[in-house]
Amino acid sequence: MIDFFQFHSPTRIVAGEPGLLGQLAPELAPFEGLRAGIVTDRVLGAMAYFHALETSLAAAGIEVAAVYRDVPQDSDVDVVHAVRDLFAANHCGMIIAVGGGSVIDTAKAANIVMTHGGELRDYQGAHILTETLLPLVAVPTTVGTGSEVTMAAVIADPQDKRKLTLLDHRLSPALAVLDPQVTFSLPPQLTAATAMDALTHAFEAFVDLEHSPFSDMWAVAAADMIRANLVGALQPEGFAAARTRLQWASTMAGVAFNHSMVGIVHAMAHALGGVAKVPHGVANSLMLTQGLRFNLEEVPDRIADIGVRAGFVQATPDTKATAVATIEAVAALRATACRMTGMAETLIQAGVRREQLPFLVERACEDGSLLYNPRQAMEEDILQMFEGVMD
Amino acid sequence: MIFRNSDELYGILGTFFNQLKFDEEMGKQIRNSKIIVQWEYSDPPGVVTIDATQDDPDGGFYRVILGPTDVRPEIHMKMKADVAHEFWLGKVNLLAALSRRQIVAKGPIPKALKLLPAIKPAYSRYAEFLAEHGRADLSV
Repeated sequence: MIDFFQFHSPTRIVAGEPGLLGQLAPELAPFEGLRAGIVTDRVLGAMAYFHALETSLAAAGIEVAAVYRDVPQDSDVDVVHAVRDLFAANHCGMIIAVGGGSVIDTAKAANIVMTHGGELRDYQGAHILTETLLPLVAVPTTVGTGSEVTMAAVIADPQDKRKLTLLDHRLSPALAVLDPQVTFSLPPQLTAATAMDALTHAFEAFVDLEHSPFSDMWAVAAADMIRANLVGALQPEGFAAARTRLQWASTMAGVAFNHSMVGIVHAMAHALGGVAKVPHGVANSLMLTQGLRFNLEEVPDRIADIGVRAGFVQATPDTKATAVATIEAVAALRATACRMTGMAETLIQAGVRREQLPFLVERACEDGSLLYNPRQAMEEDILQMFEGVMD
Repeated sequence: MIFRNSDELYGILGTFFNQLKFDEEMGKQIRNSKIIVQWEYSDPPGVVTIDATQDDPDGGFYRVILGPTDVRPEIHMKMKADVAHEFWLGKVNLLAALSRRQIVAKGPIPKALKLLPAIKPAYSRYAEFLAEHGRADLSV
């Protein structure tokens, strides 16, 4: 029984032909006259599409006052404070994030400390912000984050090796720009990993406790689009249409999990990232079917439902068998992606050491995502899931 | 308003918290979390803090501090006293209440949310507690 739900998606999403970033002046016009601070990383900051964006900014009357190019794979509090210092010194009035989840979350977090003062650690929590934030434009460059449309940011705190969760409607970007061009230079393995991240967002958003008919709609559309386009996106050529659809699907999955959150798969993936530095998409790819099998006992109807509606399986009168077939179809899709790209198929291949298991279990057990999972997990359950993909 | 004034709030919620701190099952789990949580209530105003980092002078599993304190909480939750009352009756979906800002939570919320399954037995205890203290009318 759903006792309450809401739908609120304030981000303007624009998409178009490859090269959209070079023709973005009309969409940037509302920010005319502002000084922009751009957050990105070293690789992306050298891409042709990055310079195309700079051209659009100039055409829209926006001066690039500062560029921060040193965001790492898992951004942390110190990076956020460095961005704040750079942008504050250059009197930036808006922020543009060009990158994956780490870059976009860094921009969101820097926006908080720029407008509210103090240290980022002071703003952990849900819906506690009081001031208006600077306009944020997000340009996702992977096909997995979804952060371009969410109200959340996750930033590592090196002090205690944990992640800070920042949740507030004000964090949602004002504008999300989906230019397919940015996906064309993604290595196949990164494409596969981030697409599996998006597929995990879609499945977890659908089966989580806080799901609603509204989040369901976005989750199903995203899962269907990923199922239909992942293999095509991993081909050595002729992948443009498929990668474009993966990009849309990633944003759709972001809208879905922005409302119903994520669950046990993400709890384990967050632990794998924090403890063993496994990239987030790879971690989700490794744990997705483990998490679905764990939830099978509690919500076979939900797993079967998304399996049928997203085209993974045909409907049958036996709900549990349909759910099992759905999980097998997801496993087969993942196996194909691994075979095509060399993406890790086991925790050992992803660089996890057996002696890290107790710490992984401990960190997964204290992850907030577990609260949204339909079945309560004990330590032994999580250990069993990690061991299920160990080697 | 469920509680007519702050004295009644402390008399009911404060006494309930002080009773719970002796519970073997819940008390141990809260103690192990080493958490400091503060609830700041309005209508009527009141502050209740539990400190699981310190020994309780009464021999409970954690310290309960009623009223303003210098103890710095790790997690701070602000809500109307009526919402707190409904919560302890098990009638509040915490995740929805956070999203609707009926409860404003500051700090590492997952750490507090993790204790939710552990404190579930407290919901029925609160209704029993109200009945034992002649306030069954409040649990309707």
